[in-house]
Amino acid sequence: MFFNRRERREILVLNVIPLIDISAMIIIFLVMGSVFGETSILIPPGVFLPKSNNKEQLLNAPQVTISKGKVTFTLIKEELAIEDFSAVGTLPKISQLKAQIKNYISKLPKEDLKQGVVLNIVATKTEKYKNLFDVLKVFRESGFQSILFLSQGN
Amino acid sequence: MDSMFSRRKSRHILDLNIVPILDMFISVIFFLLLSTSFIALTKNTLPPSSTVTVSGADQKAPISPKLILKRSGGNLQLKISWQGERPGNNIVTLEPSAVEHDPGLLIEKAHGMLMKFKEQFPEEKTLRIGLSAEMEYQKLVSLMDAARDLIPDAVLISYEEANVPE
Repeated sequence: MFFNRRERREILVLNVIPLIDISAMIIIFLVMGSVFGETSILIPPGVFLPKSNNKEQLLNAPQVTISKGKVTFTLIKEELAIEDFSAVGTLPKISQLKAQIKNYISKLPKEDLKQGVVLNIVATKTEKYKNLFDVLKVFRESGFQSILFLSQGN
Repeated sequence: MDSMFSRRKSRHILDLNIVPILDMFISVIFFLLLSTSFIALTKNTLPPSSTVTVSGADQKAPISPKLILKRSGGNLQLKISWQGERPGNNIVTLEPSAVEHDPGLLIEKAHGMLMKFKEQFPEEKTLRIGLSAEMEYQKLVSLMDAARDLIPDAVLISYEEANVPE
């Protein structure tokens, strides 16, 4: 009687291995699906992209952002005003920008030039066509051949 | 005798403490969920500009279709016009409030116009698109969406040219 062992209580063990598997899968899915995973496109807060039913993939390219009356370009640190682009005659700032772009294009590898010199445009959907056109005109004149308008897919 | 009842020394099992790992995983998931933007991005391409050399005198005059969206009175006027041997145009008037309410309406109307144009000129591959100065960027993207399947190459024309009365 003394030596009879008590019946062992079964301890409920939570099998956490599937949980870890799922967690790891979610992490991989999120990392792969993130915008920053594929391209280095930055959409500043307050910019609401236009909607498009197109399904084309994005390309890595220098980016121009038109937002709140300012124009930013990834290759330069300085912000430019939209009015600078629509001014009559070319302002020194714009001439300088054009020179920088031409310098950038001249340094591109030949393989990249075969596909055309590409520029990504990020602008909010309510941006006026005038502003968009004036900015694009400068970049086109500077040597960018193909312009990609970034949109939000439906 | 005594050794009979003595319990065996239990083996020390090395347990991996997975609780911190789980904590870390959950933190990473939250971080990723918060930092990810769940919008599918796409692009509309304005292809490189190109020139065409006409060598023979028997070449047909270019059609040069133009799709213009501008304000006309209180309404929006969508017009496609073309040159060539059989010049012509087609105009659709839209209410701005209807376009604001249903963004697909502009695509639908423009697509319909372009379908009719394409029936007449199936070989045409370049469309010039222009909007008046105050039109929003969304409308440009909608027009490009409408044209993409039918006339793949888009060229933007200036707002000044779009506003020229014809």
